[in-house]
Amino acid sequence: MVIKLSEYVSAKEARSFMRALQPELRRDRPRVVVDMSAVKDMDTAALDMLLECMSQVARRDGAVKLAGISPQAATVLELTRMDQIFEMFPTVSEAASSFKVAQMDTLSDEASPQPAVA
Amino acid sequence: MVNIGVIVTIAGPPHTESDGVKGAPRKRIENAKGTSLLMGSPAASCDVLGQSITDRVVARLRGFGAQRISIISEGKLAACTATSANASLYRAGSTPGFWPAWDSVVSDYLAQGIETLLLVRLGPYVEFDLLELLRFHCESASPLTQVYKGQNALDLVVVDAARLRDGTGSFRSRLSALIPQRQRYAFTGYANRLAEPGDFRRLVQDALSGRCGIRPVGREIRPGIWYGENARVDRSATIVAPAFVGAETCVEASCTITGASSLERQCEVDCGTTVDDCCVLPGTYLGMGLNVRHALVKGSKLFHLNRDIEVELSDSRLIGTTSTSRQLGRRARSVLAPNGTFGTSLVTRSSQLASLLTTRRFGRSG
Repeated sequence: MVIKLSEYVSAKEARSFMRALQPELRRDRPRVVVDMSAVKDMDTAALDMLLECMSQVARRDGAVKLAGISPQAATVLELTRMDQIFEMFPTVSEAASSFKVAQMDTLSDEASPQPAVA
Repeated sequence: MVNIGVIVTIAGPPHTESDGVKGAPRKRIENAKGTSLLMGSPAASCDVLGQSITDRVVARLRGFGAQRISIISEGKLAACTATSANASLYRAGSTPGFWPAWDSVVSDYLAQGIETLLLVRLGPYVEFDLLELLRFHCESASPLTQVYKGQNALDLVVVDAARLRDGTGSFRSRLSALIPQRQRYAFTGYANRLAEPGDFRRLVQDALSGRCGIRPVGREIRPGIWYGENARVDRSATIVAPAFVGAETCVEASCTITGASSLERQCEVDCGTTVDDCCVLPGTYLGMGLNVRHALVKGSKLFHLNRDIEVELSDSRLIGTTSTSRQLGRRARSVLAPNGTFGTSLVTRSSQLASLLTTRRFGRSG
């Protein structure tokens, strides 16, 4: 699922975002890409929203990735140290591809022979 | 010292037609790079380690014996005069606009019998030797001397007052007529163009490391660390030299100030915040647990030096002005219980963000 954030993200947009996220949260291992290319300003409600999203997705063993982060959004994420929490990608397609790579890694791990128990 | 009059001009935004005479030499003024605006204010009116650039230049000129100094701003004066120790030197002129004010000051100087006029535009910050410059001007026998750093003309000019006294038209047009006869003075000392936010940051770094003549206003409490009057730094905060904490600035618990950062007067850095390679301009509040790096911060505006971008944040819990945070402080004191402890309902913007970040990172306890 790809969700694009608007230019200004505050409490109202955060509520819309969380509503839009609900269908994805019903799935097992939800995958969410947040497109932040248009973001010019975001407040603490928006930051809380991202953390809440990450928390809910993680509970279902999924992942949230941020993509196309605008310089303004990058500045706010760095300011609040949230750049250290989220995986970030230059484009939405690269973020989406990273899920496939991660899934293939998981599959290959499952296919590998288990070590013999002595 | 000859009888000298000084006009210090504070560079501002480009002039509008209503400001002055049509057809005047405007090329330099219209150049956006030449306006020297730093996050909306003239760089010259901004504090560098406890004192504005304008005040420092005026003090330096006084040190050389210059007594008649007037300051004119190309932009609005209010913001400058409010913070300047030299507010009495500001001249707006009886008519609105920069050039009429400028002409008025020149007229006054000539009436007072000055022999030489020094024109300084801030603009660039230049640590020139006034006596050496005047000696060069006298020996050159040219009516106008302009200071150059390499091939770049600096906004520093010495003019013979007698040549302005003679002639017709405005003093400004008489000055323009002298430009073809100008003599170049090659300057080799410290100069900073102050054309971009990065230049301002470099000036602060140079000052903190002793590469220019600017000295911090305050007490050097440890080598390379200066505190202004009534600066308050929590014992658990880490200040890495060189650093400057301005007057009445408050650095709260567990903060780190590093990377040759300066916190100017009346700022507040809330708990756990790291300030690295930054200039924090007067009256700025930095919220709790932030990571402020490679930036100039003024109120709610942050200029990121690496990204070359200015961001204005609407959420004052992140960054903003200290006036709001002081209101919160007053409110906090008003809800103090009689025994001096905080009531359970106290919520400040710092505590809101702290709870937001700590709950998300470390999970809710209990």
